[in-house]
Amino acid sequence: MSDVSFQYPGGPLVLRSISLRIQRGEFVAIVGRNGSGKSTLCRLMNGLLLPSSGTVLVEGVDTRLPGTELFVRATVAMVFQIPDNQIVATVVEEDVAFGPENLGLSLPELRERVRAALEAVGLWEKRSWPPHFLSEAEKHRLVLAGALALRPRYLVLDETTAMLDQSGRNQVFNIIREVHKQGTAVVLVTHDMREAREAERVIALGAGTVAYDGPPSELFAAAELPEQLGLLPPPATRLARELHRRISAIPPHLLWPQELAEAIWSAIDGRRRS
Amino acid sequence: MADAVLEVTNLSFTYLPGTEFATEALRGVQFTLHKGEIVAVVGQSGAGKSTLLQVCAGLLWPAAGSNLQVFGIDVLQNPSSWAKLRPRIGVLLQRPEMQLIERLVGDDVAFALRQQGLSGRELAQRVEWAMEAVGLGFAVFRDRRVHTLSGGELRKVALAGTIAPRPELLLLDEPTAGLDPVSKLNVLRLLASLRAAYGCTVLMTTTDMEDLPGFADRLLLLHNGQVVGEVAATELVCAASLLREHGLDLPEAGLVVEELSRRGLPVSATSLEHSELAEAICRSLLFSGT
Repeated sequence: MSDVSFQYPGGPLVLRSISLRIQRGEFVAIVGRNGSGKSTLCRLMNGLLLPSSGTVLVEGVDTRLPGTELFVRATVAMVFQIPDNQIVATVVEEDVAFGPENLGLSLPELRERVRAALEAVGLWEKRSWPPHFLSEAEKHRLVLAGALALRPRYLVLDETTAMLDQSGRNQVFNIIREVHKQGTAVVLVTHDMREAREAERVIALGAGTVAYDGPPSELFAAAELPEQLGLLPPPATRLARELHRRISAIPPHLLWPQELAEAIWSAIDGRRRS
Repeated sequence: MADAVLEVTNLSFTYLPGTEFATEALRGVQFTLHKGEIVAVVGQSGAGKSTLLQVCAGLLWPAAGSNLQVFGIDVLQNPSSWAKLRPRIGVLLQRPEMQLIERLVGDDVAFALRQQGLSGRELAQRVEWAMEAVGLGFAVFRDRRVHTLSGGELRKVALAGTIAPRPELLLLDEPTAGLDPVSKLNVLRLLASLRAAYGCTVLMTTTDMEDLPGFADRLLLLHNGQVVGEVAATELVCAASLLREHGLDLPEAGLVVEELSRRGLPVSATSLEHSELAEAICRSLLFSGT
């Protein structure tokens, strides 16, 4: 993306001359306050929205050029927050086949992709079910399978886990981790800093621009920055800060509960020795 | 009890009863909500949280044999009493777009107030108060078109419209879902301040336990349509196995406490609220150091 701005008709300017590049195989979290333009940024990535000015290139292809939609959307697959909005078929496996069917694949290749995608999300057994009989978490896994069946180089997830319960979130997140491990780039929009800390790179949007772009540890170590952006550090980090104020031996920027417990434990050892 | 705002006994609800698709969503639910309490309904998806809220709000009619008292009135025996009760109850549905009706944000927040006959300066002031309370700047958002808002902003508009008439009882379905972390905390602080200001009572559902300590008094744990536990917010760590049995987990602060006690440093924490817990951990460290 170079120098991309975006404005909805009749709405305010959402993004102001944003330039950024997402590499193959990366795991990027996009964070920012409500209304900061996260979803807009995602929709620009696969040509669902076209920039008001500036250029979006997907593997070198300009999303504004007519006739590139198929390539762009098969390269950058997208999963939204509410699965019902993107379930189109009346049978699970047909729904998963919907995207790749448009790619002109041979039947055996199509079958293989649907099988692999449904197995990856653990829904192969329910391939002949009507989607509306699935639980919410299963529906999320279904639309994820539909995206995976495209074999995209980039997978964009727009607050996919926001309405899920804990076990549903874990299920979906485990699949995302696996997909990333196998080489797909993952772009995850999230308000959950427990998810953001898992990414290699966090992009924080603020006032329509990129306010931070770097590893999660540095974002959450900054004392002021996160709150200005509507963010708070992950819960374990917030507790670590509270403890650091009282016991300086406990570092304030730990990201994980286990790390924090470890640090508290070594603080005891420190005291015993002294 | 005199101060019971909501008394629920033997509450059952079945979707599509008498058909082959019949689904029992609530089975013999029982609990009491007292004036000024903030109670969170937790449980996995499909546990019946939203159904419970909608039944309590009079949007769904429970099965025969259920008993529901709202502000001491038996609403199942006296269905006409809902008309009088409605203005005292604020309801936030799970999907905000289901309750947004006006074109402009300011008008939408004003909707219920206008029904109650407010107008002019009084109306404008109340709308401003409600919008600012949920973190929607009045000047910026008053004339924004609802359809140009983001998901999180829509939820804030719906919430502003819900609290604007200052209802005595708030029934909120996932009030913090989709909000950024600062807004999330802001909404929970708002609920606490409404309670402090006029004794507002809150029943809310959530799938995220993380921010509840320090705000909720109690958790009502639902599973398969039944109440399987009522846990005081101060006893979360003790209830860890009960939560896990039903697909939930402790907030991260609770995981730290658990890990410390596993290693032999018991923390006598009554609260998982971060500053209180930090104090408790310090005390434990002092004792173990001597």
